[in-house]
Amino acid sequence: MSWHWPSVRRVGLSLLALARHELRMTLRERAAWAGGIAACALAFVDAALQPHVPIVGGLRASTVGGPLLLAPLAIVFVAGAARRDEATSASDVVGSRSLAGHHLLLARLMGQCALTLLLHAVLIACSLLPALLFGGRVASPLTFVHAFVRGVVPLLFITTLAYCAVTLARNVLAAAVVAVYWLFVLLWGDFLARIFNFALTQNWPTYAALGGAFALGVLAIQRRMLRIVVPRWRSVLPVAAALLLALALADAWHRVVTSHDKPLHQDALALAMAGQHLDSAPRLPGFWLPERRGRSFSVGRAAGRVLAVGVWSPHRPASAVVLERLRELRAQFPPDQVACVAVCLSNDHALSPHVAVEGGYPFPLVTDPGTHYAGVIEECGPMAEALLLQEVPALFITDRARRPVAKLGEVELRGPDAANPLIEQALAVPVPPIVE
Amino acid sequence: MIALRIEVKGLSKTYEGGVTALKPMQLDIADGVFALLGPNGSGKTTFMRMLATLLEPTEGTALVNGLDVGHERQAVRRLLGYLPQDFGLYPTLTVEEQLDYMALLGEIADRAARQAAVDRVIEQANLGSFRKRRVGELSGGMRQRLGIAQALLTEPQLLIIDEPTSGLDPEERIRIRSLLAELGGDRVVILSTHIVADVEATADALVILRLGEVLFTGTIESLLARTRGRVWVCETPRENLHQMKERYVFTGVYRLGDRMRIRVVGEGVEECPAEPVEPSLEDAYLDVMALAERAAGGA
Repeated sequence: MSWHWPSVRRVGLSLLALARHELRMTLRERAAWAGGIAACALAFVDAALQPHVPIVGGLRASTVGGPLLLAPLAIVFVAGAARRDEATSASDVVGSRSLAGHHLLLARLMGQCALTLLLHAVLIACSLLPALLFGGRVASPLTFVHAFVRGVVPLLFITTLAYCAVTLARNVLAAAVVAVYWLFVLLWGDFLARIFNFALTQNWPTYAALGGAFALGVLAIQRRMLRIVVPRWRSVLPVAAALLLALALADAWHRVVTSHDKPLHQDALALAMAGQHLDSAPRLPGFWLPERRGRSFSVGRAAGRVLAVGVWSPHRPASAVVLERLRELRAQFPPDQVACVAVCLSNDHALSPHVAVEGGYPFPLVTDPGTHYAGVIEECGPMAEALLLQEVPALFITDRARRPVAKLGEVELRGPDAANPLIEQALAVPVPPIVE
Repeated sequence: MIALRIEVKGLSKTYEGGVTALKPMQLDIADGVFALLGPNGSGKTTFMRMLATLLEPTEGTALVNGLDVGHERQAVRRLLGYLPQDFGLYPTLTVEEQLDYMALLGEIADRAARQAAVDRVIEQANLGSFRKRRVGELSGGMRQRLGIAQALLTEPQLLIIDEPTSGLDPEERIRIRSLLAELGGDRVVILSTHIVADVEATADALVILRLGEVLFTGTIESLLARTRGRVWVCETPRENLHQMKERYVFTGVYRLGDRMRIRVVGEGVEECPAEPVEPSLEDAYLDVMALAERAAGGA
């Protein structure tokens, strides 16, 4: 097998030009415009009903815009593209051309992926718009970039899956099966082992490799069906597909064994954190959780200072408002007197670091990696159990000896300055010796 | 352009369910316009689709410049342009974009070369004033011209065109015919039709097919020569017409007041004094078909 650069370049240029035509074709369909406009309008309304904070808009785009609104549209578009020749009776005209059939299949997929990403970008912009219009807050470019990046792998994975299913089955109804799978993960994904949720950023390597394996596998099978034999390339597609599949499975296995699907009872630290209880212990439960650069943050770092712990979850994007309250506290009280920290309860390990960078928060944002949110906050992970959480957002304030002074809920946290008198009260408390 | 040769060796097609669309066929085709003439269901489209590498032969093979259509599909596709009978294109693309798309499928990767090819075929098919129009907005005749234009993009040595004039108005039909006649000059054009006038206007040689069987192969002159002396014209009262229709093969019936002037092919006419006339291609075609039908009936 030999790779000849000019022919690789020629094929690449052809694929790009064909993909551009594919994108153009779908963009000129009225149904595509109608679907796109409806999805954007819904994304705008959804974000407008949330607190008008850009980060909340970005989170809504990741949790509602991409998965709920765009994915079904992408499945419909890609199914149409995969069966375009049959629908327009162009099969014979196209089939009699010399360009290898798998190149055309690949170009179509590329065109549809480009369309999905284009719509994704527009949808995010619509989700961020209410913060600007109603809250007067311009989203940081990073908010847009992070929301976009978070959607790339899951959206491309579902687009590829639908395309492969329709191409193999030669029936658009195969897309419905993929849509059911998507709905299943979307609605019941919280009850699955997290490795099966392709929307989680930590699962990207697995699903990127799996999507590639599906695409190459279908191209290899389809090439045989079209009986186009190019000896030089004969073994590349199936071998590459098999390699990617092996890579995906290995990555998934590694993740399950070493990371987030590890049962809590096998993790001594998580077990210890979950074993603390706010109502029975004299002090706020301690924790040791990773912050955005992966380093562990211990509550011990706040020793001798008043501590404000904000708890939020991207599964309830509006809870990110607690981060704004912590920012205000940070601005109003000196850091050597008051320590602030935000704890993120999320199945997705990349969200908290993203938000930390987007918001430029002057306090640590940590993630509880033991979180397995299944619709109920109280039982979603070690921190939630230890803090006896009923809802998010929540803001816990302790005195200098880490004894709880107050807990603020969603209602109190809506407006600014609600925590200020409590912090002052905590600062005024003398620090007695603690008897454990 | 290098002369192209097509050798068909025992090519046949039997569909699933046992329907034989094409019985084993032997054929040798060289430069010029080669017509496949036959009624609907005679196997023309099946033959063309096999030649266009879109259908697997059941038996036999066809070699295009020595390349087997069953096993060297991609190489054969590089030599051919194909326009199916019922074809669709992408309605949301403009004429220019559609041709660009098809040029890409014809492996013309370079943008400038593609643009030149698109300009050339737009000129050839006389589509210049419609280049920005969307395909979905074209009339039947314009779509047919676009179909021919897309088949010409790669300057194919072999052009396969299936029923290009069916369903077109007379003006558009004449336009397409003259375009096909021009194209036959430097390549092999295989044209399938059931309209004899199309063959007369464009073809150098033809094959007549009936129920998947080859009835005649040769030039138009040889077909006409075969029928010479078997075409008659006579006048007869109108009431004889029905009775005569059962005995003879009519190729034309014209009214002359209360009498009818008829044109028949056969050994002669007994009912009225008939004079022999020069056969037309239509006479010759109908004669071949009638003889085949009679032979089949006798068998």
